[in-house]
Amino acid sequence: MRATGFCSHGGMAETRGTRYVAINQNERFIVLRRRTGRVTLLVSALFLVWYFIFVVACVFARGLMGHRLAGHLNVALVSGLLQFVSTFVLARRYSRYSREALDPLKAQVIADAAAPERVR
Amino acid sequence: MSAVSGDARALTFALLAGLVCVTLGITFWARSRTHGAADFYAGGRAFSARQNGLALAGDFMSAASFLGISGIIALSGYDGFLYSVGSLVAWVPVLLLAGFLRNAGRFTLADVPAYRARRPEAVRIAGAVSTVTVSVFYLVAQMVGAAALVALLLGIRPGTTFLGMSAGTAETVTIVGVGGLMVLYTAYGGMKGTTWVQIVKTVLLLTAGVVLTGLVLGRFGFDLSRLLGSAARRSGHGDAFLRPGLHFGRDLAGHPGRTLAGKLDFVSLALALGLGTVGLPHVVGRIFTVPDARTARTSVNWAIGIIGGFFLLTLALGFGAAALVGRDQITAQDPAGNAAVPQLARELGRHLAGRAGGDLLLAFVAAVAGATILAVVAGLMMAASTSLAHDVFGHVLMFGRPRERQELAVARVAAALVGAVAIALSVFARGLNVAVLVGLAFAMAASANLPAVVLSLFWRRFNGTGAVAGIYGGLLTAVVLVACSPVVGGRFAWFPLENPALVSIPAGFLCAVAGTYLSREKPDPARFAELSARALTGVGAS
Repeated sequence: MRATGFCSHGGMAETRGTRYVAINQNERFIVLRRRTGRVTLLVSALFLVWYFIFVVACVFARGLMGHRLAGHLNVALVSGLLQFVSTFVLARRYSRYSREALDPLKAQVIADAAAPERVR
Repeated sequence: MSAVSGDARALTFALLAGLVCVTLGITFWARSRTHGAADFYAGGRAFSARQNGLALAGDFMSAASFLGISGIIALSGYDGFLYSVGSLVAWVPVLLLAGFLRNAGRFTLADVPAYRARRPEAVRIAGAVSTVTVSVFYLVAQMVGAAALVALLLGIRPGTTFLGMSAGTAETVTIVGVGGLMVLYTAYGGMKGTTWVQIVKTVLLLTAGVVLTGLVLGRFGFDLSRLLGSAARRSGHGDAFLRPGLHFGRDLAGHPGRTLAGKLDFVSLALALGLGTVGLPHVVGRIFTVPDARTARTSVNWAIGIIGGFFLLTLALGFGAAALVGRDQITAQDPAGNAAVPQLARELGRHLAGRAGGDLLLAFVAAVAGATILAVVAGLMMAASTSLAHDVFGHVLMFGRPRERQELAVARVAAALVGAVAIALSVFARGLNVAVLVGLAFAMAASANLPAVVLSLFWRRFNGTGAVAGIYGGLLTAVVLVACSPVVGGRFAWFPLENPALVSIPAGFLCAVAGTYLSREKPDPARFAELSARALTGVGAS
């Protein structure tokens, strides 16, 4: 499907439309959609909540943020650096989940779409 | 004492001229390998994950972040770091959406919501309006910043002249020069050219950051706590320098209302930074330059690693400047602290190898900052001209069936047009605060673009009217609130926050939902089926 011409909505719209409906009815696709939705929601929620706590603490909990931990390192600096760490970890984990749990499922859906008679 | 010696100035010029020659060479080379729309708009979709990661990071690490953030850290300490945190965490939503966008879109942000509309033309126009508005705001911020920086780096202060130019004239000349050069890069080299320019610049910027950080830490025996203590002592703020509260949401005794407004203003800015990146047209445009969704995700991972590392370096540079250059010298050069890193470079070089060493390191950092400005401006122009040519000309004026050659010609003309508008606005906006302008561009991107993209990917009931309402609603709310904010001032300044994101992002989502339910446009299940199948599997993606 790479070379469908420059115009994306050519005369193939009808056959393409039915193919997409078929993909949507594939059970594997339904699982893929549910898992993708769940992991996207989970990662978004983790990111938003953790970042928001940090932001609010920066303006409304300054006593806590100024508390010294070791030498000149205080809670503010450590929690800021933890935002970096959590971003790296979250990105890594999400990518690994996509690669290991979602991509194989996706490959099966694509294979099913290429040979529709084999589905169910 | 003149801030910049003649030798350093000549050296800076020579290095910058060399860099411009290299990037022009890249541009001409890219032109000879650009044959068609996918090449021009998306660099042939052939960049590797690492290449695109470097370019994405480069688009994001502007001179504003390199010099601006370290400058704020050098003067206000911890609060400058908050910009870095917000800018980095913002890449989590980019990572989440990158794969879907790569599969579902072709060249622009508007590609995705346009899929859900029965009459996609209106969505495309709305998408182009928001893309051009956000890009032009961001462009003006970059060029105004560039002008101030060049004057600073060349040592032209108010009242003195350089080659017969006063500071004001030199700034105008810089704006016109940078803008004109970048129109040439964009119109001529397309996405291939701008991406390679961006990659070269990112490598240079990282090199500069690593070298300077190594030198700073070396001065403190690689003891972070000693660096922090020394910075706090010389800042004149003591321990408060290492805590939040010197720059954002200051506690004003006796003014509880204004104190609260300042704090909410910071929350608003943090929200804009965290959610705006994924709506920035030039960031989204880069996602289409790789072959598939998996490469898109990997490239965002590269970008996260690079940007995270870079912002950690700016932390060391900012505290290093506070400790080694000192507050008085930094503010004497520039009250906003934008010159702190070049000053730090000179101090480190001088300590290492005398005056010549200082001049050399200063010239290197100044030239890298110059290259950074050029590359970011080119990326922004690319995004705006792509949207005008692909969305407005190709899909609206030519009903989705343009001649490819015509559309590319339009893209090149559009680049010149956007460049001219940005140059004109920048000359008028010279006095505006760059950080506020950038925060505003992020707020508009988050309010106008995020709701339309997210809802078209995940909400079955969504339709074209909702997309149009969301884009215009979010954009207008942001613009109106800024016009009535203390930034603009005047009699109508009833809105207490400088950054509108806290109100305008929910407003964007609300308008999108309201538009969907209030319109008579029926939802189209087949379109949602097609879009979600494409977004999740990549079947039929170009």
